[in-house]
Amino acid sequence: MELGYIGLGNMGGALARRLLREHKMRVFDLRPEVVARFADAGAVPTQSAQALARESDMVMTCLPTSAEVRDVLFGDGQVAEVLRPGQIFADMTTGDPGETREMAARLAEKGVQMIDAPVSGGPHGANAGTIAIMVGAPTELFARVKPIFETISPNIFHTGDVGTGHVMKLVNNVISAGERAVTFEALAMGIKNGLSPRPAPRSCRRAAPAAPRPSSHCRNC
Amino acid sequence: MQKGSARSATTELALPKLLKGDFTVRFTLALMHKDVRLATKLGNDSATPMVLANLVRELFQTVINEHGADKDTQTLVKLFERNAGVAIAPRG
Repeated sequence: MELGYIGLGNMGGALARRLLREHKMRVFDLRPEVVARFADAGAVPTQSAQALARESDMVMTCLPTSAEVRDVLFGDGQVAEVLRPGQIFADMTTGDPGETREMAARLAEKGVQMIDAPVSGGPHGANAGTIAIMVGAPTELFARVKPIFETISPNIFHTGDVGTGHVMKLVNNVISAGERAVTFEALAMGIKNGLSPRPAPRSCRRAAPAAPRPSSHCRNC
Repeated sequence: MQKGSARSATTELALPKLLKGDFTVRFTLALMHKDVRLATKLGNDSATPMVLANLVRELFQTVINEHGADKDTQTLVKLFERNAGVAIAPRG
């Protein structure tokens, strides 16, 4: 399967580099210098998103928001115009589930299957090959694309039909944002009440040990 | 906290960096706000009250207005530092 990757930013770039280790891949980004860097690494550079889409069996995107994905497909990028029946459009953006389902329905009219496959774990997780990929796709299509995603990371999760990958990602990030906020608030209260910022987290590490530790091992308490 | 019941991505990954004063941009406030906004929109569209997530979204909006959307999510700590009048991250 010939792959094409649109959007080589922080996240997309890291994901594309993983794919490039095992796949022939076309790449496109609005910044020519980034495309050139990928060409040096063995990717096939393309002049436009449309040119990439013509030559790829599976077109992948990782863009800032669903608005840019829509623009690539139906706006300036005009990718939808050249997509053919049987091609797969896989969006790895952290996107809007509603918008994604709407775009998927429009592409389905052309016989093109859109799936969502957002990631969690950041560029570091992508580079390390540990990133989580949450795939929203019909079951038989998931089985076909799974081996491709597995060249990025073994942590692939089928979340349901198209759109559910994005839903899972949003659930993930609400939890992440919420626990960040409440942790900071609680720490501020702790510090105001006598904990010192540096030792506090270290001594808290011993707060509820699974088993009593010999005091000689408990240097921070 | 890492060995206790408050263990989380924040205590394992974010806090050690924060306590060294590391505010390197890894994930921007803008992106985090976008994700929470999309989630609360989904909640709204599906008649699911998201009391906490809506609150968290506004916390991120507040810190964005004060410090800029392109800063790292760690910057959220400054809101709580100011509210309490204490320093969590070292000043630098």
